[in-house]
Amino acid sequence: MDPELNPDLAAAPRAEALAVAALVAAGRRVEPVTVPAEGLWLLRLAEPVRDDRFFVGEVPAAQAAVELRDPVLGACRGGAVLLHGDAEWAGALAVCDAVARAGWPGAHEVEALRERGRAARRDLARMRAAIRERTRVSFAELGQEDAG
Amino acid sequence: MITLDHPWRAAGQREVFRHLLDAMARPGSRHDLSPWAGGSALLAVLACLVDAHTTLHDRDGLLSELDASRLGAGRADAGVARFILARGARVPGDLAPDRGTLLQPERGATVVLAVDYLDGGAPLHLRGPGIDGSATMAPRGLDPAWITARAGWCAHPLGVDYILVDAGRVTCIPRTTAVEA
Repeated sequence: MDPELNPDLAAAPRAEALAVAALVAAGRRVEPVTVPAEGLWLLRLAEPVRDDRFFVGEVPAAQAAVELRDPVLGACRGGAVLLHGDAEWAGALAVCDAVARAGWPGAHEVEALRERGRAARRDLARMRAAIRERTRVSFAELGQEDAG
Repeated sequence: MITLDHPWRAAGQREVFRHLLDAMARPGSRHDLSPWAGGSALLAVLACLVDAHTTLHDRDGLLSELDASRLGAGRADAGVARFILARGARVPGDLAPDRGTLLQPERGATVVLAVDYLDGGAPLHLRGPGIDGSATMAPRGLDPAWITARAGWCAHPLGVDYILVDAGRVTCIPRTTAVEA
């Protein structure tokens, strides 16, 4: 699994990911290297002062690892981790990951999917930044009010 | 897109587990796993029992790289592995599986033995919990040294549990069973 590629692909719409995976897997055999799994993962965080570890809760997650076999090009492997309890989606992303990393025909389609995922992540980041902006506190102004 | 056949399907694994429970509860009883085995009862048993939270020692290299990867179990030395996979026809030699401790007898290893066939070999007589009087089994392709070694490993509540598998069937010899040739 490419740690830079995976978040971008995972942010692309599910239906598009499944369609691209089906396209790039056509004529190739997809062998699961691990049994695709979906369920709840315990999310572990570190408290920043003393670095104490604690479990903040559970998140739905899925993972898959596949080997693609092409009659001409040979074999390549890919994997994916997804913060959704959807093993089918994770499997599709693993196929895309394998093709992109190997540079096989179909890598351009995966790159286009990645670009849509990137755009979705940018939109989400902008939306979150706007929410944070509304909660920004100007301590200088607070100080002036206290003085008055 | 990703299709999984038996023995990797959860529904089949539940059936296999039900049969393993019965086989452990009634030592020596034979259970047909072929409907869910996908051609290998050995793999069906492992797919049912082993996952990333367990450890496995494949002494005789019976698993392919792909199957081992799908099982996801950590590789471990025979002395600490929760599950040991071995060919029954080959003597245990200096194998020393974990027998558990008095505080944690459940840590005793489970030894999965691949045999040629669950019938047609030298008879073994079983007695103990789950057996009405006595039972007989005659696995072919099980070296008698496994029975001798087991006698040394098992001292209630410590010990190891045997699961014997041929191409399509399974039978169990839990640590509480007394075995005589």
